[in-house]
Amino acid sequence: MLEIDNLVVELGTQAVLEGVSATIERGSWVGLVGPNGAGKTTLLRAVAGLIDYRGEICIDGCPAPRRRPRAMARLVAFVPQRPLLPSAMTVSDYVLLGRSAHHHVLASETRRDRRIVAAVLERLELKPFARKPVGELSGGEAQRAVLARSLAQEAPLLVMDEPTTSLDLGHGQLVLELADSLRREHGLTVLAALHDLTLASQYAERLLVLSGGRVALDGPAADVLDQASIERVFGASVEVLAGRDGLVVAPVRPRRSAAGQAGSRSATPIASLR
Amino acid sequence: MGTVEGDQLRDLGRARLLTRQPRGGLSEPELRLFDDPGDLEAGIHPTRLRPGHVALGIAVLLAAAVASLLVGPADLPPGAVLAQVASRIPLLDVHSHLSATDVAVIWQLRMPRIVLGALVGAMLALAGASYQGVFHNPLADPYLLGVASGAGLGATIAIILLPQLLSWPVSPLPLSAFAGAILAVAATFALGRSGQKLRNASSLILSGVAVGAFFTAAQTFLQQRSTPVLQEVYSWILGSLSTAGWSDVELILPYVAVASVVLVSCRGLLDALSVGDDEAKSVGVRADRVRLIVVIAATLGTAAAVAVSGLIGFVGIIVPHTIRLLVGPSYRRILPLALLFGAGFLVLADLVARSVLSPGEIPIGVVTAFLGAPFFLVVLRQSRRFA
Amino acid sequence: MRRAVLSTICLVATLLASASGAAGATGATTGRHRPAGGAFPVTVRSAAGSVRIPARPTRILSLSASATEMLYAIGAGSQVVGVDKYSTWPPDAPRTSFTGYESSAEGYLPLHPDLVVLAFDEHHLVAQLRALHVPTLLLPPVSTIRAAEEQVTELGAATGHRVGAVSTDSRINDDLSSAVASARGRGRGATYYVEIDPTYYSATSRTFVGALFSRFGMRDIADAAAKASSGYPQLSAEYVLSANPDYVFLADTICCGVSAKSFAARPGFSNLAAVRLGHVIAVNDSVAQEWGPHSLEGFVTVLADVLDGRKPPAAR
Repeated sequence: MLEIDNLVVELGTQAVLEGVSATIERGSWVGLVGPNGAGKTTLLRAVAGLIDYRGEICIDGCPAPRRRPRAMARLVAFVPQRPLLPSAMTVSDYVLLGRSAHHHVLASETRRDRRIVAAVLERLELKPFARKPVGELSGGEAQRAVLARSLAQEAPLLVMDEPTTSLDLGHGQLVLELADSLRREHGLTVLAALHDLTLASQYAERLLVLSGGRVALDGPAADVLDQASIERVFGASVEVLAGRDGLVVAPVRPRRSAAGQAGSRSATPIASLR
Repeated sequence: MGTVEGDQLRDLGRARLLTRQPRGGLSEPELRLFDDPGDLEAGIHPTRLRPGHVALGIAVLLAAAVASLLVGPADLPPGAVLAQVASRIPLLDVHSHLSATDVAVIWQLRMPRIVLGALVGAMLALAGASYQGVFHNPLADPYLLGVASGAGLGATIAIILLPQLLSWPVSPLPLSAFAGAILAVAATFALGRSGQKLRNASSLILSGVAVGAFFTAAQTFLQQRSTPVLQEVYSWILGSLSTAGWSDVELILPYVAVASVVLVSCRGLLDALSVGDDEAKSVGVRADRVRLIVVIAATLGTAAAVAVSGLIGFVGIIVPHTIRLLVGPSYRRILPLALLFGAGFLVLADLVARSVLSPGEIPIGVVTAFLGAPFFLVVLRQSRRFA
Repeated sequence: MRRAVLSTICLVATLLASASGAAGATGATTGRHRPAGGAFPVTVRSAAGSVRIPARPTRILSLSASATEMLYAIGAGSQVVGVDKYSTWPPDAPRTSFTGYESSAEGYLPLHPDLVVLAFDEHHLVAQLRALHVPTLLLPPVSTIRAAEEQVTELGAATGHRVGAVSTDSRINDDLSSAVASARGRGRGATYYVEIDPTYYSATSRTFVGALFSRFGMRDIADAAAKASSGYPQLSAEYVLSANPDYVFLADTICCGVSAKSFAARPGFSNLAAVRLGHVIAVNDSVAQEWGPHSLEGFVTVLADVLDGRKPPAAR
């Protein structure tokens, strides 16, 4: 349902994304991973129609109506990495913003909009906070509110940019579980950037590995995540283990090079750290 | 947090599965998460304009208007004044027994002044609130983008270059002030566009500061070269609602009406802007377009108000803030209430301005500050206590 | 709730519509100037256009010090019921607390004026008075003696004292001529500087006070500086020093407390010819602000005395 063909994004004179192509099936979860500066956020923002790009992005048919934000909002729901939460706005109103593309531009919300919001709040266990200002929510509750706003858009494609960054492990899992169960119930398509490779392999059926603005690897987690690839792409030294629901990518300390030690392991030069 | 089974149990709707065929333009939502949510609506309480607040605003405005109508140096008996007003209502058969001069006082002096005060106060408060919403700047007031300096320059040019203002059939002073205001804001826009779109709200503000400074300097230069008109220009700048007849009201009514309708219609969109331009776009709201429309409407209305009443300060910043402290940050409440309470506030301020030192007068800008600031501080302290 | 707001708007609109129907035209009608002395109604010209005065006014409100002087000079003093607080002559005129800068003309109504004279149109007072059907004359500051005489003529027509106006005008001319004569030509070619403000604002010969000086043949040092049409340029200390006027007249004694002594004490000013010769004269501020017959007579007398070397009377 999402087809990206030869996507090129330039900021100023620098190319941030070059020749990125991928196809994402309806109802699947594709994880977007890569080191800092690889272009993950840029790719997600291009899919969400927030920046200019060259190439083709087709969301449920071509071309994506990127010039019409209202149409895009009904197709793609974007959960940003650092959402701007207006501290005095109530949770209800905040989630109601997600319905902006569904009622008339100047009109206020309809009854259906309110029902959707109520259902979403109920589902994400935010009902008790409905009248609370967003600024009084804890980190986890706020992240759920942002997710609630995106779900209220009723868009078939959910794009998330590192949704677990500011959350502890428990709350991070909560959010991901929620997205996954909705995906399996309603056929939601999920494209999520995750920095934690273990979580990525547990939730995503397929991983897109970006490096330096290009697709380095594309495939199921089991195929893509191995020690050598991770070292090559991330410059990190890890051990890849098999876990219950996916792979476990465990960091290990780089072995210092000793005299006479042949092999691929060597101290990671500082210069290659990004 | 629930398990997958628990979620399925709780889900009251049936998901509608999507077809495999890609569709082109969409008019219906593709994904129905909650097809029949039933009666879940209870308990979410989106922020709405409360009728009680509106009624209070209307009551304040009417009270200020009636008080203003009854008070004045001509010392007309209140009953007769009310009878005179009532005699104009088509179906009532009431007569006051006032002389022609007294009737003229009511309908040519007091009434137009009250209506003018209501229109100007409503417009300034509404424009100030709209600018605060669009620029996310609590210090935004209706004169932000150079309206004040442009109007001042226009007025100065008219006063200096067209000395026989009174012998013109239509006074060129408000027209010149209006033209100056529009010109200044247009210059602000032209300078504030960084490249293609109006991406940056703050670049607009900065260019407004620059344009404002330039126009003010031009005005000061012209004034100094022509000192006999200094008095006239300064008294125009101080602001005044004095008017004779209905020509001023007729002049600004269309602009204020149109601007008010546009701005109040956009109040929901202003709420959407509070999550920033990018996130607003992701939920389907074009921030730059909303900003453009709001600025155009607010500028037209403010320019008209300033053209006939000079620069009355404080209304456009204090009234919106006070309302925000009392009813919350949603512009769905703030904009309509700013309209009503701005009107009432200015009519009240004008009443105080011309009656406290009668027959002398305090400049209205001074009164709005004297009245507005303490009230705002009281409200601020109250809300801090409950925060 | 929406309906409530809508119906409120409708009600207000109805009230407004019926109210503006009351806004009838109250502009002055123009008639022909009646040549017969003192006959009414009469149409008079003022800066605000033509004004029709239906009957001989008996309750005149003068909000201009110069107009007050003119009214009493032409003999209409008995018809005056109120003058503004800045009218200083005559001393027994019925002074009120009005300034002429009120924002609402309503305040004048308790006096029941049937003619109001203003020098400035602040806050649309002329339009307001028109709306109240009170004949109003706008007689703004003049820049020539002839214009002042015309204002006297108009007031004469408006108050039924044409004869008095004519004699006042000729008396003005006589006073001027005799003052010029008594100066015995001492002023011819002499330069002067009249100071309106300690920051060196001055008046050119294109102002009323400048016109008086010109009658004596004196030359204004400010003329060269004024390229603008305004008659009140701002000079600089340097300019005054380099122009070295023969006579200095200080018209900022009351507003700003300047005296001949403080003038001479300014840095470098002790070298001025006028200072060394004792030709620095302090006069009342009103000299540069008023153009009525009384202040005119007063000033030209002072001027004649100064030029002839006689000690001028103390500034009032």
